Amino acid sequence: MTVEAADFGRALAVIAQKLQDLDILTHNGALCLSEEGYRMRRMRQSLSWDVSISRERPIEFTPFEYRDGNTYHVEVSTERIAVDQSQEHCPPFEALDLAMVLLNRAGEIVHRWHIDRANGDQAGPMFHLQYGGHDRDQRQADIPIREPRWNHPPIELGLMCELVAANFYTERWFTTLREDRSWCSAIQICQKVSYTAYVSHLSSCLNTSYSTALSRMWNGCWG
Amino acid sequence: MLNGVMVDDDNPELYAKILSVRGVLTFEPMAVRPLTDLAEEIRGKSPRVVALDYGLDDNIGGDNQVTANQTFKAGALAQHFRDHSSSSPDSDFPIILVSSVDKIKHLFAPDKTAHDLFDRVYSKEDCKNDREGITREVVSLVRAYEVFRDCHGKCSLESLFNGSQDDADFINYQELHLDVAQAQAPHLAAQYFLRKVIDRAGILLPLPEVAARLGIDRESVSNLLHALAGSEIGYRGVFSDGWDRWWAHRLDAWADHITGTKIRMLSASERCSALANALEIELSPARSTWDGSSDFHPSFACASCGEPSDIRHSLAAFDPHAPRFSQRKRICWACIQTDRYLDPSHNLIVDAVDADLVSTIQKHDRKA
Repeated sequence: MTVEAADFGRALAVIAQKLQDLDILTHNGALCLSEEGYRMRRMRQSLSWDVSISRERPIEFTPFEYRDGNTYHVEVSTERIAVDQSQEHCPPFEALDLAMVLLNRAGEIVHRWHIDRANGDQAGPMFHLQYGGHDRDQRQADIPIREPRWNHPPIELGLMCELVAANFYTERWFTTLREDRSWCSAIQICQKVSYTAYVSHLSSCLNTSYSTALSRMWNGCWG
Repeated sequence: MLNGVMVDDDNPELYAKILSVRGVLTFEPMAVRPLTDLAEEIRGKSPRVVALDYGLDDNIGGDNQVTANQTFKAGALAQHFRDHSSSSPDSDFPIILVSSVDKIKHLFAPDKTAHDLFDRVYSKEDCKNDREGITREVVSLVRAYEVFRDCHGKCSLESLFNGSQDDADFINYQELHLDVAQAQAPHLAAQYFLRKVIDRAGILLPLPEVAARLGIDRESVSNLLHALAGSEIGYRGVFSDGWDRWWAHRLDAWADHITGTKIRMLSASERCSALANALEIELSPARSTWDGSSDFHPSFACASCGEPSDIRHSLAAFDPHAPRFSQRKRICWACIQTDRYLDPSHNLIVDAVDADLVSTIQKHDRKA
């Protein structure tokens, strides 16, 4: 079940507009996301694409007031997401390093999460969620203990935007976005890319008595 | 007594009389003469409102003291007044268009440069059929201009909205500060407030939006008005004497409080039942225009039919000028399928982001 770059690009553009219309993405954040979308649309029927969103020009979400009375905002960036849908047995991410940071009003990082594909022989699930993990040039700011790496389906820009909207703009997401047909269609396209092979593999793990899901989803052991 | 002027090249006396309100506002009829002469004469009367027919160039001679090469349309005269008021804001006044449906549709509507010049556009037919409603609005417009004139570009939003400290978070938008509170001429403030705050659901809600939020049908919402009138939900700020509006955040808080739950999480039938029990009145639930069910979650009134609608069975309307504090317009599937939204009076287009769903919806089987 493959998705063409043009369809994926259209999905990102829809997500960008819907989130901007609800004042969840800033103008610049929506522009950043929709530009990626337009770039992918020009790739037409290609089943492979590369995305990167720098920290300097992230997908920026609008500030919100948290229950502690402080104002925060979220930024999403990715060093690289490389999609190659030529293989069916594995989620189509040759590279995946997608970060979500929560910043305070002073622009300081309050916390950072990222979704990764394990590098080389890195120990951990092939696709994992991890707390912290600063970029290569800010390693000194990393928390000292990098684990755990949570076994987690790969997600890309569209699903990350959904996650941020649902968590930090819950009422708008719940009452307006969740049932919007165009929004749902766009997210469905993102889900097809991210989840299809992952869910299939996870399902097969449930029927295997000699191993566990985590074990079979460990980096280097996928299969 | 407030004074107004009605300019028409054909029987200005008739609509001057229709628009006048005994003991409150008197319109003086005026025929057409060369633009600058007419403008000067009108300004000399210090009118509180000026009403113009659109086509002031249809009749020459008789009471109309213009020659063929001196004729002009209402837009030119309105622009003249606006130019003057920019440098002399104390003499600013509302300008309303009062013209036949045909002229509005075929002449005024295409003339987009003229649209911003008029505070309100009324058809002559509506003026006759809804005299009370329209004169109420006109008087309100006059009073609003007085408010904006009196604060001299240093208005307080809290005072304009007649709100309290608790409302600050819901009105403290930069656009409102810049385009209303600090506007340099009353017509700028009045037009922005009327078009973006009164005419649009957002901070304030018109009755169809109240019905949608509460999940009750539009006919039985009048039963609820009595309960709402006693609360602080009714809006009493500028323009409230001409347009009935309710505070959105106060309505939500009130509904949540009296039902003891987050009302938006309930279906229309559940909301209606909870409200009816809490208030001990009879109410009928809103029904989906798509399948007639009351087991849906309305959150807005369709921009086309005004009926309570839900996100699931609606599409986004092209709404590029929506300010951040306002709700974006949506069109229910029933109006999409029947093409009702295409009626020129609605001025609606489906947003490009949802446009590919139109043909799908038009082929759907509809149950209602």
